[in-house]
This record gives sequence, C-alpha cells and structure tokens, in this order.
Amino acid sequence: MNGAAYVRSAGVVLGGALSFTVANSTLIPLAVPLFAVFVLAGVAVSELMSPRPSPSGQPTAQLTARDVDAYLPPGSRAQLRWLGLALVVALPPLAVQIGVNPMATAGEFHTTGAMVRLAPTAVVLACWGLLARHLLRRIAEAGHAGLDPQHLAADEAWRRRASRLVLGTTGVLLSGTLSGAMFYYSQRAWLIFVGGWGWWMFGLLTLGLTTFLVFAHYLHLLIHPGPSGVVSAVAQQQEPAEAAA
Amino acid sequence: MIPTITIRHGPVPPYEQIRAQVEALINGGLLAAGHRLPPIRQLAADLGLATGTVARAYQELEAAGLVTTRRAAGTVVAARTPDPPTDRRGPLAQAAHTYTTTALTLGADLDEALAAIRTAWPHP
Repeated sequence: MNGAAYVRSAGVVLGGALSFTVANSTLIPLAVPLFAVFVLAGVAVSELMSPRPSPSGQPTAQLTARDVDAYLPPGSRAQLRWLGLALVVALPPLAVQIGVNPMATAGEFHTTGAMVRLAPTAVVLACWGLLARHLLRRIAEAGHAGLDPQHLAADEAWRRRASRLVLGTTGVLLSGTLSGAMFYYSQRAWLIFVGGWGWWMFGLLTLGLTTFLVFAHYLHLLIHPGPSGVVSAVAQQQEPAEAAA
Repeated sequence: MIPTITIRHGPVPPYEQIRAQVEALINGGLLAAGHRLPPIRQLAADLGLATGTVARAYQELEAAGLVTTRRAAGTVVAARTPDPPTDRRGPLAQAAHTYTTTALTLGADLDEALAAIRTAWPHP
C-alpha cells in the first residue's frame, strides 16, 4: 500500500466509524452523508497525491472512440446497477423499521417520518451516482499522453486506475450503506427484543454479511485500483533524442 | 492499425483539416462503414482544439453523407451505396468514343479493339 491508498483507507475507516456513531444518535439522517463525505474526501486527497501522465500537446489523434467499459472489469457497471436497485428496494423498508418506536403499538409505522429521514441519504447517493457517471465519461474522453507505445501504456494504466477508483468508490458507498443499514437494524432488533428474533435475525444477518462481502470487494478495488500510469524517466529522456533524429 | 489524423499550422483551418483527413480515410477504405469515430470532446482533447471546431468538421462530414450521428451510437461512418449505372453511362460512352477513334486511326478492327480491352481489364 502506498500513501494514497492509506488516505483512502483512512477515509473509509473514519467515515464508517463516525457514521455508525451518528446512527446511534438523533442525527441518524446524517449517517450516510457523513460516510460519503469522508470516503470522497479520502479519494480526492489521494488523487491529489497520485501522479498522472501529462497531456502530450501533440496535435495527433487516433480515430477511434475510447470506451470506459474497456477500462473496467467485465460487467461491473451492470453489477453496480443491480446494487443500486437492491438499495432502492431494501432501504425504504429498513428505514421504516429502524424508525419504529419500540414503545408503539405492534404494527404501527410512521412512513412519512422515515422517508424524510432517508432523504439526505437518497440525495447524496443520487448526486454521487450522477457525478460518477460524468467522471467515467470524462476519464474516457480526457486527452491522450502521447501515441508512442510507452505513453499509450501509461495513458491506459491511468484511465484504468481512475475508472476503477470511481467504480470502487461508488460500490463502497452503495454496499456500505446497505450493509450498514442491515447491521444497524439487526443490532436494534436485538436490543429491543433482547436476544433476537430467531430466523428473522438469521436472515437479516445473512443478507447483512452478503452485502458486507460485496462491500469488501469494492473496498479492495478502492484501495488497490491499479498502477497510476507514469511514463518512466528513460522513456521521457528518449523523446527529445528521437525528435531531434 | 488505428488511423490517425494530425493538425498542422497553416492557412487551412483545423476543422477543414479534420474534415479532409477523415474524408480521405473513408474514401480510401481505411475507415469502414460502421466504424465509430471518437466523440467530439475526446477528439478535441486529443488534438488540443475547441469542441466547436471538431463539431463543425463532424457536421460537414454528416452533411456530405460520410458519417451519421445518433445519440446512442455516437458518430459512425455511414454505409456507402454504389453509384447508379446511369451516372457511369455518359463518361464511359465518351471514353469509348475516344478509344474507338484511336483504334480506327491505327487500323484495328472491332475484335482487336475488344481483345486489347480484355487484356487491359484487371483480373481478380
């Protein structure tokens, strides 16, 4: 792990810890937004620390469209869409269940209040989803570093790393929210009913651990997105000599 | 081998250089029908030009029927339809007339003239 990876890890760890702390207070609607802020801040700072190939300045271009899917693991965007759908389906009922007053009559729900508390989470995740889509397009469309083999390889390495970083960040935010909500709900159910709900608890923890495995997968991608793609000093030194020749 | 284009400093505006080079690559068969051209922003970033410059070149290529632009597919090289036979008839008749005059001047008959054409015709 390099310095940038430590910064990203620190963002996830601090964001996760703070998010769980806040979730156990009256500020529960801010739990996911705070997690997102810390994760994104870690990614942003780590990006400032990471080198990237500088634009070549050569007025030459290849006449082929760069596709962002070429830089991502196969089917990863479809997997993210499924994860997003799972979040959209699972989070509202979880929010309603979490919002239930333990002293209330059994079966009494306050859906409106739960949805209002869920709004900051929905806004933050939706905004990041749109931004991530825009970033992936910008990564593919960014100017090339040069057309010689070394620059092409460095350019591709940078695009692959940057797009995987966006993918990992999105996956961590979505799966972290989902698994966090499930663990939080199972913990709350255990506390309310002192000892758990048997099969209901078992099912909930199974789903929670499954989403945690998904979270671990994206966390690995976030921490290790790949080499940053810098052209070696030898290759850069060769360039002026070749130009003079 | 991916075809490339280069912009050079000079009196020819960059959009015209892009248009002419892409047109030459399409006509030369180096860009096949259905080949997806880079998005405007990508090509502009690669060449260090404004997006409007590349957009104008693409618009002119589209107006010439060389490329088609669709929202989902982007800009792709259009399929070329062969020229209708009527377009060839005039120039062929004119060339045949010139060739017949030359053959008659040399004293050749019809069989000799046709044999010369068969010999000159490229074989697959």
